[in-house]
Amino acid sequence: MTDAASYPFREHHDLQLEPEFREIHSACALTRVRLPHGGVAWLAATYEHVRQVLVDPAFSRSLANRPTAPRLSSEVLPPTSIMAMDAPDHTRLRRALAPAFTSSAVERVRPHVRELVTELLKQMLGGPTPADFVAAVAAPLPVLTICGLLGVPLPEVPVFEVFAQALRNRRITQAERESARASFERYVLSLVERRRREPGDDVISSLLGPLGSEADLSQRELVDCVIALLVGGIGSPTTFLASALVVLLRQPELLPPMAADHATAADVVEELLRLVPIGVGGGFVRVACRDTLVGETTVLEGEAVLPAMFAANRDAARFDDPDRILLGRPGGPGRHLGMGQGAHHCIGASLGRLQAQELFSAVALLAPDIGLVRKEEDLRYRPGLVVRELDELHVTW
Amino acid sequence: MTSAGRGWVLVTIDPERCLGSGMCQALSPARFTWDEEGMHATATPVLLTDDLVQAAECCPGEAISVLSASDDHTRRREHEPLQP
Repeated sequence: MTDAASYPFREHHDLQLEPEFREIHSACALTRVRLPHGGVAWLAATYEHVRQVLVDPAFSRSLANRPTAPRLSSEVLPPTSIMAMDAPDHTRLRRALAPAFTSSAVERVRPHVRELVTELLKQMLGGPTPADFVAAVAAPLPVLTICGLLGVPLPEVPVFEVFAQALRNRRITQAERESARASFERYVLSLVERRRREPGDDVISSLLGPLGSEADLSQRELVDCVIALLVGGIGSPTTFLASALVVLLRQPELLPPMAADHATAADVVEELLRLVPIGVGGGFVRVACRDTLVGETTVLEGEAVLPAMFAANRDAARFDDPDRILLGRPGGPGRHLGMGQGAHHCIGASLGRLQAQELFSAVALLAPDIGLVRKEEDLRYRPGLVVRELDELHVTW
Repeated sequence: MTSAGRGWVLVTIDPERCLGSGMCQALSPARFTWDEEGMHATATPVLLTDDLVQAAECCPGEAISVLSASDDHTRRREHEPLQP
């Protein structure tokens, strides 16, 4: 294929949808693109196409997790990683993890998250202005939340922060990343051993099913799960919370109603999940395990498809006035693809929602005059091929 | 769980609990459909299969109920309140 456009479309990214996606939405067709690694893939960018690629079991994650497969990042996940698996292995792991992450299970940590939010915000608001919202709130909140859920003792939290940084730094070499992962794995193993001896009211303890039972994960699976929970539970929420404040402050008139009513805040958070692009190019690539029709295109067995959720979430065919936060959009929380969809739907979706709801309710209440120091168009995003990430976000109040 | 008694079951989705994750549709494509209004379970009784049990157990909103169509026997998550 010589007509494939180079992808991602821009070297530098921000929170705006690249204009190429408007053309793809109008054409309503899969597009050939050349990815940074592994060559040419199909790009899915309309709501219907992206949703099908995420939900249809014909699209495999394990076939896509190969060094030769087209992808955005140089990284190839270990085959035991939950994001590299398909049914039936993937289903077994999800069943083991599911009870700890249902909306009702996660609701139990809401009071703890509310306390963390209040504490972090008050600390920031009590200090000098302007302050860095990333360092003060968006980075520590997810770390403290997920460590609480996993039962990590407070003095050991920095171990998580250091490792999360190493994993997310796209400029380090594969060898450096593997070395950081190996040392973190040793730490996780020690944590698992402690929970085996002394189970607690935490996710790791709940994953230690009766030995030999179907629910009993292997040591390897357990470590990979904890790492996946950590990477997803810290990196994406931090990126989201920072960018979400930027998007929210495009419409500051929403802050008073959010302060007054938790349901309004939750509705706004759902819109933020729809509007904030986390990935630079989209989600994890899938490979078709059989010829499959997507729209009017047949994706052939063995061909790769990149689902661009952030673009699907702004498809005008699906969302009226797609670039604005509108209250009361129909369809409930599943109306957008911000948390993914299908078998790999974000396991931490309810936890992420809850943190964002608590944070932005509290911001509206405690810092109603919050504003950005730099205009949105002057914000600088960390260069990289995977995540649209602000290094810092200075705010006044 | 997979040794659950076989038989005809009725599958329902509580729209208040459904998060629209699409998990059930991915795991049991023949039993769930999705449209602009949300997720729907097949309206007629179906044979209980492993993929249906998996879909119910992986549901992040605990929104799926699988009830025996032949008697009052009710299968659902332990912490989900029973309904008459």
